[in-house]
This record gives sequence, C-alpha cells and structure tokens, in this order.
Amino acid sequence: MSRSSEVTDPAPAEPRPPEEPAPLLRVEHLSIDLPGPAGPVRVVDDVSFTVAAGRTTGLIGESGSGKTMTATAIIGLLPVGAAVSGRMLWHGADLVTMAEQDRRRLRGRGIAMIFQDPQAALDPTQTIGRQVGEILRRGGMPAKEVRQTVIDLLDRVGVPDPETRHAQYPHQYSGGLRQRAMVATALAGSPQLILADEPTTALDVTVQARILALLRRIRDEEAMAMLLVSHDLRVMAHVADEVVVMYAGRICEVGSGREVLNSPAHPYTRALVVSVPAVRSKTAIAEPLPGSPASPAERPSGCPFHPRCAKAQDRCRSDVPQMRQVAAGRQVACHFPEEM
Amino acid sequence: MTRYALRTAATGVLIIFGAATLVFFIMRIAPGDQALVLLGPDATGAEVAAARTRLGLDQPLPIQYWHYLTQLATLDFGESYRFGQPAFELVLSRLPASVELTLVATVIAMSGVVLGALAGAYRGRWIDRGISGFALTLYSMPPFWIGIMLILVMALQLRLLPSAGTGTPAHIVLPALTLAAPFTALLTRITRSSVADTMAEPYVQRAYAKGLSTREVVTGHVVRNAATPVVTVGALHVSTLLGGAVIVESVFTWPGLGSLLVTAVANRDYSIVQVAVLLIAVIVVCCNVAADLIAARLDPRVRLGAGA
Ligand SMILES: Nc1ncnc2c1ncn2[C@@H]1O[C@H](COP(=O)(O)OP(=O)(O)OP(=O)(O)O)[C@@H](O)[C@H]1O
Ligand code: SF4
Ligand SMILES: [Mg+2]
Repeated sequence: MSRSSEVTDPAPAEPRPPEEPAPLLRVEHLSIDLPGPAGPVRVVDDVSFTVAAGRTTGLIGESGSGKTMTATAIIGLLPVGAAVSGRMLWHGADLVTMAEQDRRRLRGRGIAMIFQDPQAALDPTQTIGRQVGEILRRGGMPAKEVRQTVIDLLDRVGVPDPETRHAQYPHQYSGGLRQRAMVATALAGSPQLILADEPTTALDVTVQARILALLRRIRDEEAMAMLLVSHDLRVMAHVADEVVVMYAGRICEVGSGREVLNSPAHPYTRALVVSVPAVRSKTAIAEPLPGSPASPAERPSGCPFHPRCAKAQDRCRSDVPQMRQVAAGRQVACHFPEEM
Repeated sequence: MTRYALRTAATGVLIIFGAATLVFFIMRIAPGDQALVLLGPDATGAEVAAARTRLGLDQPLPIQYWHYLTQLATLDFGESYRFGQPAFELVLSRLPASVELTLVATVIAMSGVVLGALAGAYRGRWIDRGISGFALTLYSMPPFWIGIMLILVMALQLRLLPSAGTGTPAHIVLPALTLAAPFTALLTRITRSSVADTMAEPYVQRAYAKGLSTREVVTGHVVRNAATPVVTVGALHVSTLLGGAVIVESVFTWPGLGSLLVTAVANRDYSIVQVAVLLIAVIVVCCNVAADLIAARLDPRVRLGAGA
C-alpha cells in the first residue's frame, strides 16, 4: 500500500529520477514511404521513441533498417516524394504538420545534424570558419563577433590552433579534424537536439574514440539531447543512455543502453550483440549474423526477422509482433522474447 | 605553376603553328588563285603566268611555305594584294567591331547562366521543363536561320530594329542576339546540369540542415561549386563566337573581322586570311588559358595545391 502511494503521489519535492527526464522529442507511430520503381516502399514503419534533454538515444540496426531515414525525417530533409505519417512532437508541436517556414527556422538552431562523411559534407570551396559561422552570419551576428565565436567553437571541439586553422579549407584538414569542424558547425546554432548519423564510421578507430569522447563531453556540458545513429554496438555501448534497435524499418527493442546491450530481450538484438565480441566480455567468440538484412521493399510477413531467427515459430511467420513492455522502461516486439 | 606555364606556352605555340600551316595549305589547295581573281575570266594564259610570277605563285609549294614561315617568324604578315596595305593593319582595324559584337553577345548569353541555375536548382519542376525546352529549341536552330528570322520579324515586319550596318546602338541588337542564341542555349544546358549535380552533393544537404532556404543554399554553396565547368566551357566558347561572327557579320553586314575574312577568302587575299586566322588562333589560346586560370581560382584545392 505504502509502495503504491509512493508511485501515485505527485511528490513535488522529489527530484525527477535521472532515467526519465521530460522528452524533448517524442516520435509516435512514425511511418515513411519512399517512392520506388514498383510503388511506394515503407522504409520506416510505425516507429515510436523519445529523446530527452541531456540524454543520448542510440538508433542501432544493420544497413537499410531505416536509421538515416528516421533521423532525416526529424530534421525534415527527406527525399522529394517521401510520405510521412504519425507524429513527431517537438516541445508539443508536431513536426509532421508544421509549416515549412517554421521547420526551416528550427533547423540548425533547434535541431542540428552531423553527417557520416565529413569529407563530402563540407563545401570544398569555403573555409572551415566560414562554414562553421554560416548560421551565425545568417542570423545577423556582426562579422567580428562571428569570427571570435567560430574560433571559440573550434577550440571547444579540439581543433588545434583555431586562430589560423579557421581560415583553412576542408582539404587542409584531416578526417578527424573535419568531423570536429562538423561538430562545431552543429554547435554553432546552440541546438537542443543533435542528430548524429554514423558520425564516426568514416574515421580511423583511434580517431573514432576521440570523436565519441567529444560528443559525450558536449552532451554533458551543454545538457543537449542527442540521437546517435550507428550500426556499431561498441559506439552505442560508449555513448547511448537509451537504445532503439531497428530492423527492416521497424523497432525490435527499446530500453536503457546498458540493459539492452547486456541482456538483449529480442533475438535480433541478441544476434547483433554476440556478433561483436567486445560488447560483451563474457562472449569470447563472435558469431556473425546469419543471412542478410531484409529489404523494406520485400519485408517478410509476420515478424520481419523470422527468416533469420533461430527461435522462429509458425506464429512468427503470420503475426506481426507488437511492442510490449517486458520490464520497466523496456519494450520488445517479439512473440518469444528472452526471459528478463 | 612554372610547369603549367611552360606546358601552356608550348601548347599555345603548337596550336598557332598548326593554324598557320593549315590556313596556308587550305588556301592554296582551293581552286583558283590571286592571279585569276585579279585579271578576271577573260585574261590570256600569258597574262596569268606573268601575274603568277609577280605574286610569287609560280614557285613550288614547299618553297612558298618556307617563305611564309620565315616571314611569320619576323612578324612580317605581308600586304593585301587587293588593298595594297599591310594585312595586319587591315585586320586590326576590323577587330574592334568584332570584339564589340562578341562582347555584347557574351553579355546576352550570360542570361543562360541564370536560366540554367534556376532550372538546375528546381530540377524536374515546371520551371526546369520550360527553361530546358527553350534551351533545346534554341540549340537546335542554326544561327544563320535565327538571323534571317530576326531580320524578317523584327526589322521587316515590325520595323523595330535596323537589319544591317552600324551607326546607332540599335544596330548591334539583331547581330548580337543572333550570335548569342546558340551560346545562350549552351550556357543554359551546362549550368543546369552542373547546378543539378551540385545540388545532389552532401554538403548541399548539410547546408539545408543549417536552416538555409533554397535561395540561400544556391547562392551560398551551389554557385561557386557549379561554376567550374560553366566557366571552362564558357571561356572556350567565347573563342568560337569569333567563328560564328563570320556568318553573322556577313548576314548583317557588320564591318568586323568576319565579313573581312569572307571577302578575303572570295578574293584569295591570302595575307589577310592568314593574319585573320592567326589572330583568331591567338585569341582561342588566350581564352583557354583564361579558362584554366579562372577554374583554378575558383577551386581552393587547385589554388592551394591539394594534398588529397
Ligand atoms: N533516396 C531514397 N529513395 C528511395 N529509397 C531510399 C532512399 N534512400 C534510402 N532508401 C531506402 O530506404 C531504406 C532505409 O534506408 P536508410 O538509409 O534509412 O538505412 P540506414 O539504416 O541508415 O542504413 P545504413 O546503415 O546503410 O546507413 C533502405 O532500404 C534504402 O534502400
Ligand atoms: S517474433 Fe519470432 S521470428 Fe521474430 S524475433 Fe521473435 S522469435 Fe524471432
Ligand atoms: Mg544510414
């Protein structure tokens, strides 16, 4: 009795537990159809998750699972012809129905994005400083102030000697430095949410670790929210507070990063985890995932993972498993999840 | 940079030498010669032979060629046998009119860059379809036909503009439009495809992610990156405009290099044809160099020497 009253009591004096801060972005039943040669293809199907201030939500899944499309939908830069349904609530306002004008104002300032390939994502004909400061300049900041702010930003993300290097061009930067410059560009608009799409995939392993440390530091210092897209579980284990596992455009499993990666409930997550030895020190040998990822254009019936699932039963082939709660803050879309 | 300069200089000399040689032999291979033109169809064989000796045309071709080259090397371009004046001076006196026409045509053709940029930025939309259709139509019409149509409609039917000669600024409109038409179409097409390709670049996506509007993205990031092929092709084409001017100047009796060249060819006035062609070759080479330099200027990777 006393326990339940503890839960239902408003208890305003009690600080909010760190696991559940107010969500900044609430994605609800997001579906995306892209035009394909044989009609529209549903590349993201009924996806729901939240991103909270000061937290990092990780989006994991193999290639083609719809991670980039989900992030691109949030910033509103889907390819021409994409049809979106569902809701994306940003401070209570729905991004899906928001006027393009308002969405544009949000880009860079409310929601910023860091891209996978820092080489291709920087304009080769403009200095780094100009690109980092572009959003400030467009916002009407005087040139002198922009220059100083850019130098400070570059310094903050660890670009050495920013006084000289802000005047250099992308080809004069190494891959790691370019990605730091991209992070500085994202920070320039003081966004509340940063979408980072495979921010380290194009980099050397040692550089990867440094960029991840940088992202973590920024999240902590600025209390920014981050949606980190990656197929690399080691990256997730490093940075993600919450994890969303996607397969063929659908969510398999949602939960705290620690718990999902330590004791996966969905067979797909489990298969992902055992395919990478370093994630779980208990597993000495990596078992590569059998088969190849399902294409959203030919998504298998029932549970899309069933052709590759060792636990698949008849029911898996016919019935789509719905998301259900298996533990506190833990949801799984599987007919036969692992015991928690 | 020194290597580039040396290579460019060597290529330039080679092109000019080639043009000099070609024009020499083509003029001599063509039937009829100066003696026949000078004396008319009624001249006797003896008269023609005497004139040939006087003009040095009786010597074997290799000797004439050698003679021509040594003269060129000392910048002696000979005299026009028709006008009795130094050929170089005659050609130079006609150059300003041609340059004026070419420049005005180039300025008109710049509208193609704006049209192409619009079409490329809005690829697949109605504005793109309209502009691309217009450019294709323009591109497929022969310049002399455009010229005749302009004369028929603007000068003869509507009596808006003069169809021939010089004197007032209005006189340049029709020849410049005619000369500009294919160039405009070319610039539109090249700019469109270059801008459309650039719009698909990841850094353009990223610029959108900063909250820029399409106009800001295009002016801020696309124009500079899409400019290189446009500038290269454009600068090269400015030199071919001189070739187009030959026809256009004749149609509109514009007193430039082109109309001088046409009469000189008809008269077998070798010296003038040779100088005019050499001058055009020099201008072509200069345009090439300008194209390279501007392209290098636009791309910091070239300008600063890219490591990667
Ligand atoms: N412009 C597009 N037009 C049509 N289909 C697309 C387009 N871009 C991606 N797709 C398809 O959408 C699906 C989801 O793609 P998405 O890029 O979101 O995957 P991802 O999870 O980010 O994969 P990766 O790890 O390879 O980046 C894929 O099947 C892909 O083929
Ligand atoms: S629903 Fe069935 S096929 Fe799908 S993951 Fe669970 S057990 Fe495997
Ligand atoms: Mg992706």
